[in-house]
Amino acid sequence: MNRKFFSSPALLLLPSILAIGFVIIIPLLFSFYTSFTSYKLTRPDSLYNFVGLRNYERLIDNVKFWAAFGRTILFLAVVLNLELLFGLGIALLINKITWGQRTLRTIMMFPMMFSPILVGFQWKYIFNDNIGLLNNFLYLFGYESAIPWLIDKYLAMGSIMIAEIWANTSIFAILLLAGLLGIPRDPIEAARVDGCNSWQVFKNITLPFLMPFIFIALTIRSLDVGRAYDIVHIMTGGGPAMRTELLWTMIARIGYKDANMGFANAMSYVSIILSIAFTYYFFTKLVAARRELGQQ
Amino acid sequence: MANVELKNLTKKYGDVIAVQNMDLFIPHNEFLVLVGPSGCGKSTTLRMIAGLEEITGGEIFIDDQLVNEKDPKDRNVSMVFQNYALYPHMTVEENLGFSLKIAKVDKKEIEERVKEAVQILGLQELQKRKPSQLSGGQRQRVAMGRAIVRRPDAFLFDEPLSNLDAKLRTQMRTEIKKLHQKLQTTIVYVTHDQVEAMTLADRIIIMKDGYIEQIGSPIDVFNNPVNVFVATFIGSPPMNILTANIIKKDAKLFFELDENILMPCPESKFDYLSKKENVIIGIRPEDITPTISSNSSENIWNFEKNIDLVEPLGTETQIFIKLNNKEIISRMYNQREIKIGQKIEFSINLNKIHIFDKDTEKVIK
Repeated sequence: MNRKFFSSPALLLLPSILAIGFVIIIPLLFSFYTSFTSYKLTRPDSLYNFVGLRNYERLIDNVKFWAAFGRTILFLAVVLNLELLFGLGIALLINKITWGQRTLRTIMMFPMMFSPILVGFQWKYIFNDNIGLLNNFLYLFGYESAIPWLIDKYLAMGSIMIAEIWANTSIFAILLLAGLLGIPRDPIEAARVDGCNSWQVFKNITLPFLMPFIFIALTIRSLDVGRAYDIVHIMTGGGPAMRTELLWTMIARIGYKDANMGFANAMSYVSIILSIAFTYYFFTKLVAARRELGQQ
Repeated sequence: MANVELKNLTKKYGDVIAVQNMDLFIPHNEFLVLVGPSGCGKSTTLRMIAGLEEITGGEIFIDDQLVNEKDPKDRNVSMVFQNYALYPHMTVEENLGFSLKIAKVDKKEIEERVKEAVQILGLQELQKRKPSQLSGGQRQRVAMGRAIVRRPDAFLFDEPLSNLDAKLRTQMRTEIKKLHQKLQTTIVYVTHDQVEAMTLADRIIIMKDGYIEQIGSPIDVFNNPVNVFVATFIGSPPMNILTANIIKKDAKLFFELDENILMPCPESKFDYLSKKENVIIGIRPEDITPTISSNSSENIWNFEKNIDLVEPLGTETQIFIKLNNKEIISRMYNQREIKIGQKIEFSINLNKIHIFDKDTEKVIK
């Protein structure tokens, strides 16, 4: 018996190694393997049908996949930017409040506490062209033709974005507020004495201090938004005519509805590249912003 | 190039009074030091002049203009903060030139003025560095440079040296004084360190609980403190303070410093003190010294006492004795051999003692 292997450090780490193995490594390797097979959920024996790179080759030629890929990038770009903008605005406003800040912070987090599925349902009925609150509200103001919010090929995407922004802007607000509260008072006062007005203080002092927090928030949210599924699934189901199909709604459809798991897994591995790219980009920015502040 | 005037200035935080009815005129080019224990309102006063703190009542004039409603940016004062408050994301150069950049000064002039400040403060090697790469003393210098570059009407210093170690503090103190001579500008300087106050100031203001206790030149407040607080605050080691009973004997008055130790009372004070039972006596450690020779002139009075403790410091030796159960420090400026427990003779110059009222703690003139 190899005495070294059963030395106490290895022995003590064994539970963690086993846990990580069963929870992460084995499923990861298994799914990676299936992306090289023609595995169909309905035919378990197809698991052993090794097809090499054929799933990936099919993928590269698949226009619908790349359309969903591009749509996801667009969705990420719009949602992240708007959430950042609104979140920053809210954080700055709350930071100014001297009374009731805690209560407001709690209230602000309510949308985060709802299940995304419920948020989806809620907005689905707000945007419904017949019985929806929004169209009825517009009707009161004399706008009589019903707007097909979730059916129109452009409006549908916008509607989902609004729902997503409503549900998650507060994450940005909370993270950025934490950043704001951590900014030392002195440099801001020094800048005011140095001749800055409020905007110049914000641009030259507050924002550089806030940058690391902005990038942390962007990193977290890019991962979250990148795997958007539930809201889209509930609100439009990827429709109309796949106009709101994002990567993960498409993967889920192919994997579970069409039971084509091998192909779906190949798509997942390509999609992960997107998440990695975003995370890498924001993380580099985060490190740079921290170095700028001399925090390393 | 401006004077600063405070009229009836008051600051309250809710019910707590930080500064109460402060009146003050600071002429152009004066180096004024506000000194006092923490919480005395000195920093608040400075921050009100800068415009960082709102005023509850009263008026502030800079260069004869009412600035109550003006933003800090419009007051043309520079401030040096206790923890430097440098902009961490800017290099030394950018820190120095920031205020000028904001004021949209011509790029060439910014360069020149930054260069000038860099030379005055000896920052040549450090221009491209960020604040995190500087030592405490260097950061302090950059903070001062940032103030200089603007050529303001007045400099405001908020305990600028308290984060530095003792040696550096002494060195920077000298530099600040030199800087003032070079720049010829009004300076308002806040500190809790009486040594800094004494060495730097043209005029000292001693504050306590939001009130001004005394205003005067360093020597004036040292020699003629108006009350027990000022007397003990200024000077190091602090003035010895003890309560003494007044004893009448042969139509003369004596202070009972200890059992069987009676110090004669100056005749000028007989009228006032004959009605009192006791007073507070203040004697600076340097005015109570071991007797050198027995040439007792008229104003020198001697007494004997046992030594409790001896602390040799080289240039002087501090001797601790007890009078009326209070620890009294005496300073000896020669290196005579003395031992703990030994009984030696001390001399007090009666002209130099301070007598305070027991109840009001104010000086009896």
